[in-house]
Amino acid sequence: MPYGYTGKVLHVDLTTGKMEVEEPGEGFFRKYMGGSALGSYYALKLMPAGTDALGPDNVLVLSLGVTTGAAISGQSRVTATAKSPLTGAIGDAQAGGFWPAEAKGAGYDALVFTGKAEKPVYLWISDGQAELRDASHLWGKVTGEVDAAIKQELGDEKVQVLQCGPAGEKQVRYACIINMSNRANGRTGMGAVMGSKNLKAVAVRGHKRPEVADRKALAALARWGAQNLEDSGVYGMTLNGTADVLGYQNEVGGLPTRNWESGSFEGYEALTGEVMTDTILKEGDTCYACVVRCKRVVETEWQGHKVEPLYGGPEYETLATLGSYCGVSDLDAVAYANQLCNMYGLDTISAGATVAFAMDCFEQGLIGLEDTGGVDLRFGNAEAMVQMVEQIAQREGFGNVLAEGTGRVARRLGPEAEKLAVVVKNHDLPAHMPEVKRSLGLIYAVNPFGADHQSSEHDPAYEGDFDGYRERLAQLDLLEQQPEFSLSPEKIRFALYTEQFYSLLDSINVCQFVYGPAWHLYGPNQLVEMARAVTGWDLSLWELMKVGERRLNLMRAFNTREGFGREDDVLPPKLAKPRKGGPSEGMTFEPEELERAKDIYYGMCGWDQQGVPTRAKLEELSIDWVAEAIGL
Amino acid sequence: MTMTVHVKLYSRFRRHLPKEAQGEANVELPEGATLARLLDQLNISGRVQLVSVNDEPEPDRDRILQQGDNVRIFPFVVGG
Repeated sequence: MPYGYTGKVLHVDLTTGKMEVEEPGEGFFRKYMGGSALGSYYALKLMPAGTDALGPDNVLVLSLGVTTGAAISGQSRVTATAKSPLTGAIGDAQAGGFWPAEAKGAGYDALVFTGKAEKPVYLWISDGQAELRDASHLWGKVTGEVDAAIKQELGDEKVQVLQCGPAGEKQVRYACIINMSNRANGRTGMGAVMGSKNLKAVAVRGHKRPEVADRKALAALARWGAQNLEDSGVYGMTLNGTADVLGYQNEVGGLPTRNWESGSFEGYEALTGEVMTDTILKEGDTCYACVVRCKRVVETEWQGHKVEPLYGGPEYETLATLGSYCGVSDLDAVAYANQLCNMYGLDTISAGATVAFAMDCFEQGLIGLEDTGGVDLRFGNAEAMVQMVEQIAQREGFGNVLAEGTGRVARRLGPEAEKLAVVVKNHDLPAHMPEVKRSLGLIYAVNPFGADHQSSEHDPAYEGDFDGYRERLAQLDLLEQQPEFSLSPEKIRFALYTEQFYSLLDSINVCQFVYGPAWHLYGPNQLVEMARAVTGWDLSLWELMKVGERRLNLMRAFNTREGFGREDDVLPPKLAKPRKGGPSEGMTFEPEELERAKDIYYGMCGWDQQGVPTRAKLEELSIDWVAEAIGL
Repeated sequence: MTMTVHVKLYSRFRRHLPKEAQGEANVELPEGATLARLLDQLNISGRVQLVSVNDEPEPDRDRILQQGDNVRIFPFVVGG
């Protein structure tokens, strides 16, 4: 009997309505663990090359991990994997909340959706029994309404609902998936894939989760977490949410401002986590069994619109993209725009970044009032920012253009606009600046699903004389702190090893604030302890790191099959132009520096100089079937 | 003789001041006091990531402070 996981994968053919349960065996779960390693496995196996991301042949996987639902912090996570309609590469996004733990209790480790339903449906899973139900009456409704309606329909307030929102229905290319009306599988447009399949929601209820192998050991580790939270680096998030970092980002010139013109925002003080705590915060919130409680619940009003606790509160990324990216310093406006994103199911990062890009185009005269439908898209105009978010979510007016995403709009507007597009593989850059975090710049460029800030440890933990987390980094054989702003081979090694570790976290599918290589509540060796206690497997950190590396190679292989190569691993041209003002005045990230770093990185990965995994590397990772899949 | 500097504390360091101060205070120090003395007086010891004086990063804890200086102090902070 498996410990921690069910051993069952539910395949749902939405075209025919047929469902099948697969039990791939213990070896499969030990090898892939869950999350996007498992998701990428099915994407590669089941999806033909060149699939239309918004067509019925796309494969959408919602996966948990082998430890999901165990009674310890940071395990309640769900990953969405499919081909991304935004990037054309592998798509990947994680979310927390209570849905994942409930889904494990409902009886499955993963749900694999193929085909397209004839009319809107939702999947209802209760204690192992699955059925597709009509969702026509839910189509067009916002997330809070749908969440309440499904619970009422099923007569159980404890049902957990994951859904795509109206933006997903309308296939906004960066629509997200939402659960609890406020937790998002945010990036790469996974909500649009749901919408394209006429899959409105997945509701789950389960009364019995799998046993864990060693309850005593798990309880001891959970207790240790509760006792050591205040001393942990993550504790700032308990106090002020992820926005705890905003003031620091501005202080070092690392807060993207006015579409990356500057790293320093004169209005930052209105947007800090501390100010949110002192003003509009109603309470902190948590995911299943987590002591960190980093989620924010805010209550306020903006221009007569209520901002309701149901829709949570803004993360750091949201405060930056809807705030400083757009030159907006009105916390209430950002909180309201965040609510719109959660109501309609929009990725707040791409939503804010796309509006900021449009504002840049407007300021440069590349678009005018005749294009925007009369909206005065100047930086700092909070009303315009909110109006655009609303239009994008509903694909109305100029929002219908911006719903295609920054990269596509830039190509349509021409070369001058392309110079303003801050994207990698069409994926908008999140709010951490490569100019002041050099190895993060490399990861932005090479990450399989486009620029991402949650795919490696950030540079400050391994720079200067900062010694707060040396013992934990040493567990990954990272022993030599590097000078500030370096991109030395040792720094690239830091980027790669921590990338593989974060990749593991997205496979075993745990929270990257709770587990990690540095400031997190639990360090690498404690993750091994946790996974051993839950699964009963005699795991080592070496074995787990291989899972992380396997995931990265699966994703890379998927992209190779879709035609991506070295030329796509590039940073936007705007980063090669000097930042203006503040501590990062004059700083750039030049293409030459990135190309040198890629030479070293690809070599360290065991890939060729086009960034393609070699057959030998795939064989070393025991996924030689992938070599056939990509024609090596 | 004493002097006054203005301090702003971020994240968990805010708890080194009374809650109603919301992380900001004027702190009285002996004339010629160093940054280290200020940190000591505020009872801040572990994991200081960044201190700035008058908008400039200041890694030197022996920096002698002046009347009216503005000091911002950050612990190691993270977010996503």
